Amino acid sequence: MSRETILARLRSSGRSESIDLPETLPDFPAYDDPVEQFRVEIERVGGVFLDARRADSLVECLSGVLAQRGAEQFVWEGSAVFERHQIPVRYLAEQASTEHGFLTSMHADSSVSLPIEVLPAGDLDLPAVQVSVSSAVCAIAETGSIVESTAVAGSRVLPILVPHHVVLVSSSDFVQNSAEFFGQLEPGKRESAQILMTGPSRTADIEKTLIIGVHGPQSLTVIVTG
Amino acid sequence: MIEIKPNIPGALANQQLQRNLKHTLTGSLESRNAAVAAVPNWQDLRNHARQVKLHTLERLDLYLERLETKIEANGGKVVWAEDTAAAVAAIVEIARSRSARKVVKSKSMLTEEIHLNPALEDAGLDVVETDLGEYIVQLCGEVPSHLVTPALHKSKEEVAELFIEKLGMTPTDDIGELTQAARRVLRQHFLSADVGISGVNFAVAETGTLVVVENEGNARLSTSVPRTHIAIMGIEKVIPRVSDLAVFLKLLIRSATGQKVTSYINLISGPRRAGEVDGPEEFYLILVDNGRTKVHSDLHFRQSLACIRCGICLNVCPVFQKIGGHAYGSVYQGPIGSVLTPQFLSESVAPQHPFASSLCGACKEICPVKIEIPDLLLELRQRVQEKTTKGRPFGEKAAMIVWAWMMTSPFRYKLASWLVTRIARRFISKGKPLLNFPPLSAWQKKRDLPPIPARSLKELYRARGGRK
Repeated sequence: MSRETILARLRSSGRSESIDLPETLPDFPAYDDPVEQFRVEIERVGGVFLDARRADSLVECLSGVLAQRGAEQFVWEGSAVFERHQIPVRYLAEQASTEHGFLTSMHADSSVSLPIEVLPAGDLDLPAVQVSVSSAVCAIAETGSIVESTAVAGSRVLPILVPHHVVLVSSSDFVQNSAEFFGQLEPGKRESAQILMTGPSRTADIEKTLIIGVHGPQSLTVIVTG
Repeated sequence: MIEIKPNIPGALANQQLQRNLKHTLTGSLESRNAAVAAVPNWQDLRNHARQVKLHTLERLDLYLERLETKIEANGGKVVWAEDTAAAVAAIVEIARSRSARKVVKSKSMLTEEIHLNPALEDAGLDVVETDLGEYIVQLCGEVPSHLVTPALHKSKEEVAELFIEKLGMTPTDDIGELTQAARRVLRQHFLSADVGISGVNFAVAETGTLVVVENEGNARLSTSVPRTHIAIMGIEKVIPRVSDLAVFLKLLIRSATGQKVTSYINLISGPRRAGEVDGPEEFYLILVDNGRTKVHSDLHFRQSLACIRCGICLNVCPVFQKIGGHAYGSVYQGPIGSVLTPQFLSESVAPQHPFASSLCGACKEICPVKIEIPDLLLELRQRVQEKTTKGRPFGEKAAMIVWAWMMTSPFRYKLASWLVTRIARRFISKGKPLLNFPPLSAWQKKRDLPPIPARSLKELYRARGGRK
């Protein structure tokens, strides 16, 4: 058995000296206005920042994103996003369960409530859809990163699949820096996967030339909600 | 035996390679330096990371067991593999038992180390690399030439030619269009793959979480779309705590790409759970030894297992800058490659690697976890020398005796330098290389020996009234 062989080798190879784990982390930067710092950082890496902290401005904001991308509908990560950000919606058909439907789409033809229809579960090939929306659990001011967790609405691939991705994050979910973020993180407690996203998908694999949108989205829009 | 020397003239004469190396490595170093300059406590971060790594290596058995327990509690399975054969067999077995036909891979140097792709292809599987650079290298039938930028040696014209031939795309040398062509082809591979294989940057023992750092999104897709996700890591990649990720990620990313943070950092804690709408049904972690326990058993060399594969020592190395990655003939290249390769494969398989260094110390200076690379290289040189020669050759011995005799008396030293400068002035100033006979002529071939000045420093000093 490889397991016993490897462990036995490690145990027999001896210790040079006793080295303790450091008790505290080195300092990480902190900011007077974390949301503003976040905006600066995300815009620096080509992300878009929208402020919807003012009451009732979120639906307006979302319609603006659709118009800008020349799209007519969103793909939503799931109903949890509506609840988390208090988005008024009405379903177009009777829903058995939105929990296990993969995605729902929204036609932005209303400024009061968003009409929703449920898409078939598990369909990952979505060539017709241009814009996806999900919810973050945290935003890190230091680096302009937003964090999504599968514990919220449950999709690992949605943030990567669609050409334009929109993430909603509540202003109460901002942290100062990555030390604060990882310091409070308990990965695996509630979810199988988390992702830190900072700007759109990019590569510099050919001649060190920066190209936006290789496997993931060409654009990342973060909307801060109240 | 893996040789470097025979590859050097070709690499130096390859003008395309020289241009790419200069362009890419200079750019990488500049952005790294700017990113590091913005962190006032960079040295504290380095010290912290080194301490965590050295602590972990002292108790590697404990942390690996803890990692295993947590991964299993999260619903994953752990497979231990002591060598290449065991690792490959485990992966082939998983793929076979699921009747898999297609495997998508995100970047993993370890899978290069164990030559996984040919083994999977032999088992009848379709294997697709999905990192753009790795995909280019795979289409060419080559191996990566850099830890972080695998297709560094390719120009856009070469990539265009390749895509026209292999993907049937319309001729272009626009890098954006080339990238989009790859995106379209690879997206279909993601959606039709049965197994996704990924590497691991860090594995956190306390939570059983794997960290995969990327910019493209291909790692996220590889680890989420197929039914089965297999992650593979060397046993040295485990770290004890989640909180230290803040330090490690900052060091790794700024060193590797000069970014403040990459576009995506994936934290994966097992397979899809109840209530989640996608993600793999099965999750395996392959823990690979393949020579690492041997390195671990040497108390001094153990620190080479602290490497986080940022690749910055390659970028800063004057030897790598000139010969590129392929000349090393090994999976791990540049300074850290020259440390690891002879240890993983034995000094007699890679005897030239420890010598492919000027020992300038730039790698040690820049390493984010402060690995003492030049010191380790020197020690490896000694080992190679002990293994390959029975004492020093006669000529060298004789020269050393004469040298010692001359240097141990002020009179003899003065006399010798007086003689040598007279002879040198006479011959070299007339443009005739003094040393143009073997074995010294080999040294002269590629270097100009400047003429000896008319007066020595001491003579000038005296002529200007300096006192004795």
